[in-house]
Amino acid sequence: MQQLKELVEPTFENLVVEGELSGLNFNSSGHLYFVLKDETAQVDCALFSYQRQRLTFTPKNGDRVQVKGKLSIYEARGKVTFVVREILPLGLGTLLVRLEELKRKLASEGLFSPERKRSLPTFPRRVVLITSATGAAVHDMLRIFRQREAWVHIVIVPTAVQGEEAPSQLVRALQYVNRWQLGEVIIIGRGGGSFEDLLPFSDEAVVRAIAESAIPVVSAVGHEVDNPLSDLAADAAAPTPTAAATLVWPHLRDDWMHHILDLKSTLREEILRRFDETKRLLRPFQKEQLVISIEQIMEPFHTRITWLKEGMNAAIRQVMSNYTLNLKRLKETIEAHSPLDILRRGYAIVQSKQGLVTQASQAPVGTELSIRLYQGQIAATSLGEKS
Amino acid sequence: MKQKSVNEKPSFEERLAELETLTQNLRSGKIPLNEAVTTFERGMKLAQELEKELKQMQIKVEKLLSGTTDLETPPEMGLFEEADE
Repeated sequence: MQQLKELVEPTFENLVVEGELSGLNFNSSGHLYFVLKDETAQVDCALFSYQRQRLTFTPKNGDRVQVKGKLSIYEARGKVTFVVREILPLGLGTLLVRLEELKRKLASEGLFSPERKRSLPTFPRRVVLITSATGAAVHDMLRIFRQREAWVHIVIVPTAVQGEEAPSQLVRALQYVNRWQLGEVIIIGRGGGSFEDLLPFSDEAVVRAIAESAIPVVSAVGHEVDNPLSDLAADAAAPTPTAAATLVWPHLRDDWMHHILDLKSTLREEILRRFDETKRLLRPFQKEQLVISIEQIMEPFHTRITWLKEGMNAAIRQVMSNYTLNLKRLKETIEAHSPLDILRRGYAIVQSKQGLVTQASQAPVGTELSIRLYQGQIAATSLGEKS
Repeated sequence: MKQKSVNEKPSFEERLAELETLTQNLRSGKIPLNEAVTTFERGMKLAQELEKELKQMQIKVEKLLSGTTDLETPPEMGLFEEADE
């Protein structure tokens, strides 16, 4: 058995087998045992509890499935068991292919192009939640909004989020919210579920309605691996409704309170700074400052005037003393040239009735003459010119 | 649901943006003094208003009661009870 185990197990580590489910046994410990069979053979299978949680559908006897796993040999019982990792319903394959085709088609129409994406309002006043009114999603989202003390008006538009009715209800809800402008942003989604449960969010009509919405849409479908097509068409996508609510309301009230208080104190500081600055600019124009300024301006003039005054005085004194000196000299000159002084030396002044006689010809015979001496005068009559 | 009235007060966001612009203008120091005073007064009024609103604003949760089957039926809202969750 040991040798068989060593031979078999490494060889059949990655098996993919198709067949029909039978003998399903949900063990109390959480493991699932069943037999996979087809027309010619059968094998015992085990799906352990930790893998079972990942099942995306509820298997029933008679389901045709594709099973992935490995062969294991249980030596104690001499038994070969197919240890299953994953069970996929057959037909899912074609579904996946159809989804992939739809995705390509819508992409080629530009429904998923980044240019179409609109930014979400920073502070939406009304947020519309299109989801089940009874699901975990609505509860999760409200919890976030409440935790963050969001000052927002939430409008819940209840719809089915799985099953046949879901796509048409989701489409109608999107149209209705747009028709009546019920909010500034829409979150459409649901919590996690099986592959089939999430299918409405990849429905062509739903995806188109999301793309057509005039109001920005956030896709909020709980998923781990494959994105529903709603994620691609929406303006924003989140992996869970909780994450979507955080995306739509990223704010913490305290942060904004601080921001506003900061702005307020900045305003105060700035206006005070402005006042101080203005005061400083105006200071030179205050009364006492003005007197000082004028004195400062006048000071050089004062000095100059004083200096000029002194200069002028000196100049005048100089001029005056020059005059005095000149006068003295003149007086002396005049005195030197005084005729009386000459007369004293014996000279005389001879005058006729015609005036001074300075030439003999002016005093012909008989001319009456007056001779002025240093002291006194002599009357005389000319005897004519001496030869 | 009331139609959005034309004179509806600007949103919190719009007023916050205005407050930020006013603060920026005042900080630049490039506006004349009388304008600076007006800016300051307007800014303080906005800041106090926003502060007050921020303290008071509450979340409101409503549920559409009228359904979405007929696009032309006006919406009718009811309070969403916690018990519904």
